[in-house]
Amino acid sequence: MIIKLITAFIILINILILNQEIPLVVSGTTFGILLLSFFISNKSLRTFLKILLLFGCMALLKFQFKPFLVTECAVSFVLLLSSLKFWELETENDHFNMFLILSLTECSLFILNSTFLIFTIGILKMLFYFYYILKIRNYDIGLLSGKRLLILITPSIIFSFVLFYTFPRFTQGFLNANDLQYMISSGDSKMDFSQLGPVNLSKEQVFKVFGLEKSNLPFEILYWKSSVLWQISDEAISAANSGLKIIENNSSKYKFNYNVQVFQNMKEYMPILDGSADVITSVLPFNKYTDGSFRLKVISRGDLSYSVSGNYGDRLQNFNPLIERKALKIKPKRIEEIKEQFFETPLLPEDDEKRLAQLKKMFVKKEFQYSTTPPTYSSIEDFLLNGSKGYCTHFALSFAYLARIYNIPSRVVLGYLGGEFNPYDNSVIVRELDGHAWVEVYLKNKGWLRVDPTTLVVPDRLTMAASEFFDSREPFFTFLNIKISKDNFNFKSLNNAFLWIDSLNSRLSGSMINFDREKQLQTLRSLTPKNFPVGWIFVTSLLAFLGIFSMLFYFFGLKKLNPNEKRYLKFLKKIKQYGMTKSENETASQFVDRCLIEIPGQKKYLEKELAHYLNSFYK
Amino acid sequence: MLRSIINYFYDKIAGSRLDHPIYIIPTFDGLKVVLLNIILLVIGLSYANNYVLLFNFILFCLFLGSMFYTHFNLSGLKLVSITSPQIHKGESREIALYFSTSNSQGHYFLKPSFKSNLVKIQNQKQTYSISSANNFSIKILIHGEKRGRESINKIYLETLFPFNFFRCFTFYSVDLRLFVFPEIKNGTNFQKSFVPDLINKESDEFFIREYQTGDSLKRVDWKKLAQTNKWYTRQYVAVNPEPVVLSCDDNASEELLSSLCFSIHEMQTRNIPYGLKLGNKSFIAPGNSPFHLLNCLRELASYDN
Amino acid sequence: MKPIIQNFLSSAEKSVLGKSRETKLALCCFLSQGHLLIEDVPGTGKTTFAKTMARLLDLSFARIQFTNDLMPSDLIGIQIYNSNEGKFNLIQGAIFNQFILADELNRGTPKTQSALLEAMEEKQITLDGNTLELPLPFFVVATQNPRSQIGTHHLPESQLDRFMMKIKIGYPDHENEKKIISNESHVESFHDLKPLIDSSTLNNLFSELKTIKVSDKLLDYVLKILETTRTHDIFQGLSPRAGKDIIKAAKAWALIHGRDYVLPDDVQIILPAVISHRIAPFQNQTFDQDLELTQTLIRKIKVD
Repeated sequence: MIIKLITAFIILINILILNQEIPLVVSGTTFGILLLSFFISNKSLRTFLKILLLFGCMALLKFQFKPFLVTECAVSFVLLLSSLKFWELETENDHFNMFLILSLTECSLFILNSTFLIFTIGILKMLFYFYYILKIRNYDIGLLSGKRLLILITPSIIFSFVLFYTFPRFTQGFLNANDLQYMISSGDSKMDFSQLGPVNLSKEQVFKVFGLEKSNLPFEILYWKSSVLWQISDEAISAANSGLKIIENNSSKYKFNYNVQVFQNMKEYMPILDGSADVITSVLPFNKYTDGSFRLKVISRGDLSYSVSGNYGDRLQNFNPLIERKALKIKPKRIEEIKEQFFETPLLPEDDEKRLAQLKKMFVKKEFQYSTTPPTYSSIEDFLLNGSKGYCTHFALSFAYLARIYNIPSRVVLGYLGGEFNPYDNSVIVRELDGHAWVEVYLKNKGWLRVDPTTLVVPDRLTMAASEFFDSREPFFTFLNIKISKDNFNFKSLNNAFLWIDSLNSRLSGSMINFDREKQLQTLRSLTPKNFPVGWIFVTSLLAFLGIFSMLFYFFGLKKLNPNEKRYLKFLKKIKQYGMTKSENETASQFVDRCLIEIPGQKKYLEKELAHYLNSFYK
Repeated sequence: MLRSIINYFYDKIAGSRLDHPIYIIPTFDGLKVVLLNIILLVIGLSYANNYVLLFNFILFCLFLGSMFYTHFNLSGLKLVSITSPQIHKGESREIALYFSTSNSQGHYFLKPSFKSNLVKIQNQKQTYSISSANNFSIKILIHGEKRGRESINKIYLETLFPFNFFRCFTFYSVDLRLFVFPEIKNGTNFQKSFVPDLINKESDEFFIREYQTGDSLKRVDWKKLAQTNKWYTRQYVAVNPEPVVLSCDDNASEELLSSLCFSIHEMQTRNIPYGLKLGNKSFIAPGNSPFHLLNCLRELASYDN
Repeated sequence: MKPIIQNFLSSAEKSVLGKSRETKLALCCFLSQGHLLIEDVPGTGKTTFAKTMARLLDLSFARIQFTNDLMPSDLIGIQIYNSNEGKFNLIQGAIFNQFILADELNRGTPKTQSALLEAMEEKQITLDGNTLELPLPFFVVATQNPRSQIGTHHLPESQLDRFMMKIKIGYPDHENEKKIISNESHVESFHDLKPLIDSSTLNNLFSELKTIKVSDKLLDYVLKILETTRTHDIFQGLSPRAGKDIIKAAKAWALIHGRDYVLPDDVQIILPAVISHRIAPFQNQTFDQDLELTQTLIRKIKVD
């Protein structure tokens, strides 16, 4: 029973850790199944329900995800499977299978949440579970304790690290390709802050947010979670590059073929990437973008940041008739209605700057309200005509829409705004909370220009840190219709602790796990003779590991001999050189007598050793 | 199918001429771990996730370590001797295996077994430990299933300690002659024949004889003394049971053998000398001693019709 | 080797030609206060051997010739009614001596045999309800014809176990046999023998025996012997008494050789004498076969 509870506990922890990565439906279903299994004891009913639930889960996964979301699909499936498997946990064999399934879940945790802390907790969790499995196997775990456990576990852990560090990577550097996929795929159906987009965070902006404009801190921009920099302006490129090292340009090594899937509703408002923003391309691993116009290049895996090389920046600044056409495209459905509502004067100024100013003015006049939980709108027109509550995405989309009506080429940009400065390691943590959407418009004289319609509605969003801003918008926790003021909780010290843990985490992740491939190769090369293939280092260390392990057991198992016994064995060994071996049923004296006949030259030695032997063992 | 393949390999390995070589193969659980390792490696490589790779390596090293440990747990163990139990059909007896070891750490969770048509090992899942703390013997409980005689040449010993990832096993060559005696069951449908005692006996059958010096005073017939004033000694004739020969035909049924067995035990406890004649093949002269009993029982066990 | 033991052995040599090993074994048996059984074909000097021992040890000596009609009373003694005095007098039998030679033990009836064997074990006898202590030290040397001989009652296993050793004299070698058959003075030399070991010396030797060390390693070796006989079905399992006897005899052997500790060699030498009559699972074997079996056992056991 206790192990069942432990299993349930582990599954619950997994749900909690994964809760941001998998849809609520999956965690809800998992939890439901887990609960159900405690109450249904009828076996046939169980089996029936289990089959039903399995099909249900498959259907859920089928409808919930698009086929390209391999990771989440697999993770959800493994999670659901673990809760289903929980129903039949009886024998130790079931528990062992459960262990294997949970290991897979653990592995998905590491993928979705690559931090050192999660890893440590995961390993401890699994070891603990394994310990209990051993216990129900009726193995007296005491037999393995102390020395024996040490001799088994310690070398294993040490050598797993050795193998890990000498393991030749077949991957292209340390890109977490999954991050890339996540970012690309996350623009799907969810209209919330987990929609990720291009990072748009200049150094100055960051400084401004924290009031550090004049400081010269050596900043590193640390993008938390699964963000990928999607550079869309010169400013942003310089921001991302500032203070970051750039590896010399060997971009041909890191070619990626990747797939851009754009949120259907927003397709026409997205930045136009050389005219094919809605390209649907490939699967992982990436190799090359179809038209070869740009590549994504990893600068460093250590601090999880990316930048773009190639002519991407130029392209973003490009403006040609094709782009113009796209940037002015509007769904004509209810355009007249909107014109009626939003255009007081049908005459528009010739100068586009004036037009923009007019649009801004009008936008402010409309008095939109900021809300993180707006009602659902079927389209942008719907929002413009019937709604007033919305958040950045709504404002950006509608602003772009209006701009196009005003005949200003415009596009929506998704990215990040703000972030949290972590004083423990001088980095900025950008969370999903900091996700933001804004608009870029093209002015003839000035090129692409950034406009943030959200600031027109709530200027605070730009000047405050994201968490602060949201707290000020919603100062209450709602719990069963009771509102609890957030002021009652002082998270400051707790927050500091979290920041500290974050910095620790990033340091450990950076130095121990996400170490540089080039550095690794350099170190390995410097430790081994010239031209020694890296693969062989792995093989050699594996062999050394095997050798050392067996030696360890050999010496561990040796019986401890007292000096007299040792001397006797030495004596026998020496006599063996003369061709005399003692047979098993022969006593020492008989053996020596026999030796005296064969090798009388050694008489003194033989007699001395015999006397010593008899003295020490029989006297 | 699978069973026959396993049996084939069992026989092949058991027939090996080497002196208790140690074999080690992964168990089903171990194979599952290997599979998991491969999956994790593929995931770790394709997602280039270092944590998954490290997790994979830790699992892998534990797996390898447990391989060494399992082997280590069996190495250095030598079978010194084995007792041959006297077992009747339908009875349970212990077989004791005596070991010697050159491993100071002891041996845990050993599971001995052997192939036999006549006896079945009870509680097969039970495991035994040998360490310097207890004596180096293992006692397995066997149950006699069928009467007969067979010789067991190999004793199988396996261990899964510590993680069940590997099965380490070895075969010890032994020379165990196993007799399963017939069931002890009462029945009287066999021939008993009395044979005259060949050994000289005191032929003195007088009930009362004259007193001789040295006779015990307890034996003096005091009544007679009073009547006749002469000394007489009561000479008791010792009831010396006649030897019995139990015999049966060439094709005796199992039941008959059972009842023969029952009678043999009866006579042994009552101290009656008995012999055994089974068909025309074997004859054991009458006697009465533990070894005679053993002889007769073995003869019964190896009787084949 | 102690001078007294040296003397004993050389004197015995004069009477029993060429049998120094057997003499030593016999002495060993006496020192460890066990009883000795000698088995051989008639005419090989069993009786002479026993008589020599008795003479040299300076103990009261009696010889009992076992026959079919020997009654227990002849052995133990009788209560005789003295009609004059009107009460019973005890006439002590031959057993009330310290050194008893039971000649041709297996010719006696089982009843008589068991009377002797009981006395050997208990070192006391019970006669009509009275318990009488036998004089100490008390030795019995029994001689026995091989089983195959006609008109013998062989001893049951349980009684054989009471003899500490069973030895075989064997035919003398060529030279000694020549001496025996030619030399008339052989018999005289037996009469010339003088007692060498008196009771106080014997007691000293007994107490000296107790101080002889037996190491753990040796005990392990003896234990291994016992366990091996119990786990192989070609042997009959040895009793703990046999184990005790092995240790005692080995100690005595060490004493004879002037050592104050026991070696496995000692055990190997005395082992055939001590266990060959207890080890055979079947009674119909000859003594030679038993000895061979003992050698098999020794070869089986690992020793350092």
